[in-house]
Amino acid sequence: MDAGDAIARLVRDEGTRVLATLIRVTGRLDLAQDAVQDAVVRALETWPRDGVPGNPRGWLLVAAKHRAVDLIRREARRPGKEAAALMFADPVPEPPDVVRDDMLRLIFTCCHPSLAAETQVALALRTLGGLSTAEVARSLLVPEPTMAKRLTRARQKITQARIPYRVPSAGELPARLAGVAATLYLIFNEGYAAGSGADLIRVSLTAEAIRLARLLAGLMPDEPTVLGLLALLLLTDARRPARVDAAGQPVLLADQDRGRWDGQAIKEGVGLTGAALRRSPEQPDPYAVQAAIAACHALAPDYAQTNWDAVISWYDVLLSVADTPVAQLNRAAAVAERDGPAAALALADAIGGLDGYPWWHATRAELLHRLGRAEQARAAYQQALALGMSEPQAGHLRRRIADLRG
Amino acid sequence: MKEYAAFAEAAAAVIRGGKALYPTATATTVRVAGGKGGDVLTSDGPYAETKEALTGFYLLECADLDEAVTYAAQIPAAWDGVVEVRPVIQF
Repeated sequence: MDAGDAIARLVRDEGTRVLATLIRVTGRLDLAQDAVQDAVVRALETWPRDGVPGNPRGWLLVAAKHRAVDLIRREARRPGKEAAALMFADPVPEPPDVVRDDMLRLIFTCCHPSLAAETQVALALRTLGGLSTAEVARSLLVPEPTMAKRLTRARQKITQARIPYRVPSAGELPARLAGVAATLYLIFNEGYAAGSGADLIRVSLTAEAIRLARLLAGLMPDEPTVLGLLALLLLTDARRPARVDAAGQPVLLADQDRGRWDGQAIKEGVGLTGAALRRSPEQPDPYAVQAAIAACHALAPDYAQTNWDAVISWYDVLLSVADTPVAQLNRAAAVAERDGPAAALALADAIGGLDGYPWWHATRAELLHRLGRAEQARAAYQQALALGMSEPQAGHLRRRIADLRG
Repeated sequence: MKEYAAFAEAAAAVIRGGKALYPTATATTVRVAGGKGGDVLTSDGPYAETKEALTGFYLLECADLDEAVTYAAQIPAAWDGVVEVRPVIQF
């Protein structure tokens, strides 16, 4: 990272904290965002030239407050007194625990359940991640004017519906935290599913999700959901360098070059998994359990030496806390490795409600393939393809159909 | 009705008004063709033919959305149906 990148990172990180504080002070998300945006631009212009100030956050907060005062005065209907009061409302710098609470307030506001999931994702990237509207639009494959409208409507809804700027009470916290985790997971998946080099901008979403999960873990270091989420993201992302080959084709877990996995991320992810599970011994957090499954894979020296007993028993735990058809399907795939394709096919066939899920058909096809039932396998591969998937994934299934002829 | 009376008591501090409505079979839809001053067109039935129908409303004065949701969850209609929370425009 060169000096310019380091400054840009510092400005972005501190800019989010200053935004969180300024929203509380002004009570207005749109105004605070415009003011912080202006301060950030000025910091990026002056810091590389004049050096980073001794208290970067204080510098940004003062600059943003000045700008906010200008903006309020410009709105003629607002009395000047209110603007003046703003300047003296809070001494600089804010105490660390106030900044921490401001950040949490901002996170829970952006991920309020009365906002649509896609809106939460966009708001989190724009407001918490500090990406520009253009960058958010590009990463989510939405035209910029559409994204600008979506963000404006979201800010209007926050104001008009009075979505509170507040950390939920202890009783509400588990459900609200699950909502925040789901939003960060969605951001990660947007980037992870994109996968290949042609989609580099989207891949940066995985880094963004990890950054936000890390931020949340710093704010709530004892919450199993937060630790489990960060662990799951790190362990999944650790495999990314080996997920596609030089030609951009997906490489299956069994065939990945494990030497290319990110050892540092695995180490951190495994540690966090343990911490998350220790903090939720009675009712393990579903993210922590999924992280435990990812850790089983991450720690196996090669595919053949995977501890399938451990993988399957973690799936049993997962089904006890979050029973979904997709989790059952993944468990069946693990059973195939331990007990063979016939046992797994019986399990897969018994799962209801996955007719519209291409990977149910693809898993059945693979198991039928291994059982030598070529015609049934072909039909199942074709059903999977008919339901639609990304081009590299479809290419893989077409190659498997070609293998059937051999 | 007893449950609604219990809600009215529990939320007395924030209730500013509200009415129960007759079923949608009694609804009449009104629209003025071509805008203000145009022909008044009335037709039978509710505006939107959906499973959910507006059966009544409460006017609550709450500090924020979370407080409003807390009260909405105590309205008996939310237990076997849906309660929609909407901000009131202040003119």
